[in-house]
Amino acid sequence: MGVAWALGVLTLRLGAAESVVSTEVVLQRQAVPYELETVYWNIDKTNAPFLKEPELSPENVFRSVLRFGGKDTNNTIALIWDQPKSKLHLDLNRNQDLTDDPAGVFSSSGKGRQQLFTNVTVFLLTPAGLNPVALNLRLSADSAGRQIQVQLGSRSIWQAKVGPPGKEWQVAALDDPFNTEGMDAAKFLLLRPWTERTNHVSLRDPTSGIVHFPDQLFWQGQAFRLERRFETSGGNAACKLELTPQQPSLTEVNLSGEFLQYAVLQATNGYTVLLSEPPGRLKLPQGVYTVRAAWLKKGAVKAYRLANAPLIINTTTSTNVVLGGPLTNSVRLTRQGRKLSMDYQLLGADGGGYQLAQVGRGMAPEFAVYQGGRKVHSGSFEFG
Amino acid sequence: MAAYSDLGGLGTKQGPPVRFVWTLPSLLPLLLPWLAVLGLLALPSNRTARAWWIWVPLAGLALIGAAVGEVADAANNEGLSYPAQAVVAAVFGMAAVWLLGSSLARRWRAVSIALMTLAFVAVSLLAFVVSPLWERLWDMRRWESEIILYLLLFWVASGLVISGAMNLTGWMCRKRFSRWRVSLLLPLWLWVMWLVAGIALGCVMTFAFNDNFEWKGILLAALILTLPTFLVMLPYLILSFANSFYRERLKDLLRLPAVDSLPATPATTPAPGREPALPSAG
Repeated sequence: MGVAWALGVLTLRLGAAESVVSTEVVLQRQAVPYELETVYWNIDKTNAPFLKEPELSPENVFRSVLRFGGKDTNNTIALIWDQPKSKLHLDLNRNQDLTDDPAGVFSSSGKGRQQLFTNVTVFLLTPAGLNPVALNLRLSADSAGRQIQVQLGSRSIWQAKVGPPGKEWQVAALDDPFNTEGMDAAKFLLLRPWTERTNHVSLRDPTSGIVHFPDQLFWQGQAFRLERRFETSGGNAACKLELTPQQPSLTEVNLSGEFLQYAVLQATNGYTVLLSEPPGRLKLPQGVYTVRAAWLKKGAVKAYRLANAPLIINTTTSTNVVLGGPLTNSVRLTRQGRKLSMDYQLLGADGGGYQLAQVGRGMAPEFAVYQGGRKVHSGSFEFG
Repeated sequence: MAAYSDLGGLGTKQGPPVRFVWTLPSLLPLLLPWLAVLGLLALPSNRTARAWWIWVPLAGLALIGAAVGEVADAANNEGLSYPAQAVVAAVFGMAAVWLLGSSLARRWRAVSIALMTLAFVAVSLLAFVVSPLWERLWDMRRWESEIILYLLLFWVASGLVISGAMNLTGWMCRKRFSRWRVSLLLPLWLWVMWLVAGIALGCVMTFAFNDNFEWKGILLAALILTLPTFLVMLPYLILSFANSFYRERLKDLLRLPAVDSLPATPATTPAPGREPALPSAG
């Protein structure tokens, strides 16, 4: 896919600590080729026809309503699934007339009881205005034909490439279209090196480095107040980020640990910090941070920190921070009654668990058992 | 022991060795359910040599269950190993019900059902807690914190199903008691009771948790649960048909009067260790 991206309207002046001029970054809406979040809904089939309907098959036609945002009646979209014709009709303009939505007719290549409709764009009403959302819809009917099971996958992302050549970053905002309280546009922030932009991320995977949109960001040694707003120009919606430089109290931190590519640290009521500096002395805003994500890289090999034991960093006073490698192959042995349980662990210099990003077949870690210095058994670890 | 993996430069391939000293686990906990049964045998109502026949179905089923569990463990078949260990635990619970039969039955029906359930759950859980399966389930709380609660609910449901099915079987046999009527009606009522338990679970899942419950699966699931439940009870039923002491216990549990269609036992207080002839089929 040719990735269409947009540069910020202004080049972000990274490292310009003396700057007090706000910087604006324009994020353009894109559809990624994978699903950022997947939800499953069971929706009741309705028998009464809608006000106006297209020509439909005589049987196996399912009528229902997609309700985004739970009880939010502003975001209910009528649908007709014509299973024999593999067609999905959506009432995008919400007038119960399903014949006047040319952009609301989708086809599936599948012919069976389960059909997938890709590149479905619906417009959801948010406090910031009408927001387009790209979805995948996988529909199937229960055996009684009373309910439709819908698997919805969101694919919308707002993004821009920011930074000087060779040091560009992906700055992205992600929607929360399936929130039961109502669609929330650009609710999450994702910052990572531009070269990593094609790696799949998941909204619910904390190791992705996706965080709730922060008010304050510390990035490349500069503190910013972060604000966002939506604008539509020429029919295209855009999300604009405004970064206003700040001067918070800083604490000196001695960062050690190898191979750190970047890390996302988040304070409960304060700054979100993006670390990408080499080991050494650096300054961070004062606060108590949780390491949300840490990615290591050496050559083509990458690893990320697991989220099961979050690392807390207190920078209210000068401190030493150990984060990253070298990584150590380790095995945890625990007795379970008459059995010995062996758990493989890849530990970082910070004591936390890590995982290699590319784990394929034939790459399972191995173990060897010794008795009196003599190898008596060996094998491979299995998942589960 | 040491772990190996190619980390591509992010660390060394061989990890540091980890030492572990293995000692044989204590066998004492495994004796606890046996001691519990021994304790129940010491009750005044069980102070007869004929009561000791309880060891036959108990030891037989426990040995078969343990053997199946070992074979399944060796084959790494957790789908068979886990139910086998649960069945062994239920065997002890059933022995407790039979040994407490008269004390449980001489009360109002609702109280009798509650007490029978309590006896079954208490002794079954004791046997379950000392089994190797318990340690694994306890460890699984890391991923499913409610697992112990679900387990407790399962055992309580099992106890209610068994005591309910026995009461209903007794009600159906109130005019005519025979080994065949009991043997045929009990699995039927066990199936009905498991169905009721499944429907109750389905209602909770549907209305309390708004979950999409697979109602059609209840019929089959009830059948699958009925089979091991009846297999656990069958040896105790056979004991009751063959042994006058336990036949009275069975009638107590079924809430039937002492006089039935079966031939009368030759002596009210037979000599310890001597069994009357096997009664004929009713």
